[in-house]
Amino acid sequence: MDEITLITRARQGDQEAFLALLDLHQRAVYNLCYRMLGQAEDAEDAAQETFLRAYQHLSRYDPRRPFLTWLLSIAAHHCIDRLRRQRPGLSLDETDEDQTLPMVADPSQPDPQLHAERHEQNILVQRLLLQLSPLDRAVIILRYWYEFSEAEIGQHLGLTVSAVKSRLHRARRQLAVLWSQQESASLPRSAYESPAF
Amino acid sequence: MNHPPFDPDLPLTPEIRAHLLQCPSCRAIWEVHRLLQSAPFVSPPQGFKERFVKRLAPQAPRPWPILLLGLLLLLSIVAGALLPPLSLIRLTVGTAQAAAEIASHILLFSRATSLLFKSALLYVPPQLWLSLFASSVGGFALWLLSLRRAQLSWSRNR
Repeated sequence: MDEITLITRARQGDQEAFLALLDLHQRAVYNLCYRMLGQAEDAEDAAQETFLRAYQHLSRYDPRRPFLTWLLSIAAHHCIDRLRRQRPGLSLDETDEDQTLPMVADPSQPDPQLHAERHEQNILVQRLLLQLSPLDRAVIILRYWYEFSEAEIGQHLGLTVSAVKSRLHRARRQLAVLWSQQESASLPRSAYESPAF
Repeated sequence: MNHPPFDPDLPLTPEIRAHLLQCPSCRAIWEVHRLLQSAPFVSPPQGFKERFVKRLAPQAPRPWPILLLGLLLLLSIVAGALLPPLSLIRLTVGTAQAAAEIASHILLFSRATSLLFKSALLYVPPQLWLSLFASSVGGFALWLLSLRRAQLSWSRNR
């Protein structure tokens, strides 16, 4: 069954059809929540809340837009609100590196060294992301994980294209400063650290 | 860095490559860009869907039970007032006589109510009437409000 049929059925109250949509998009929604919040438990709660809101407000969904972008928009706003309600910023100690990150590791990955490198890389990415403001973080996540254009990011986060550009530039610069600090620390260099230019 | 901000989305020309080798701040931006590009997706833990189904289960009740409850209450009050005399009449007389009996019963009931109302007007102070009236209106409004809220909640959860 294709996505449009599933959406139509879900809008008519078919719960199974909505669960099939959840199957299709849970990874994308969860990843956004995890990248925004940095903790597995919070990410799961936020992702569940996103699907619950989507289920309750399916009548508001505009079928001309992709369903996933609608879900991601709900998730991003929910996470931003959540972060604003919570503390002003998470400290590095508050990210649960050990509990969450096994999910990132690909069990089919045959090379343990590459596996470990990916794990390290993911910890580093998350540490860097959590230093950004919630809105800048959302801009970076939508740009890099979901390959949204600046116009699409603006549309989803209620920003102008120039505001998105400015936030993207500022966030990259901030991350670059943090990255330089990390680089001087003890982390081993790996492929992504050596620019292929 | 005394040059325009580096945009890592631009294609890497030989000039940009040469610049990146010399400029640490632009190189750091490029490295972060590459790091983010290669970052993986994080998958939800096992049982995500099952936990969502559990979360979905406690939905708000439909408005019909509340509506039915109110109507049943009203019907039972009316039935309680009318049915005992009716069944008594049906046991003792025929249909035509029963109709006459019912009519006289209603007439008697209305006379009794009117008499009760008139005497109540004489003996019950107007403040008490007002408070009785206000509480009845308030109760009715609350009932309507609860119906409306249940209906809204139900339509939201559909």
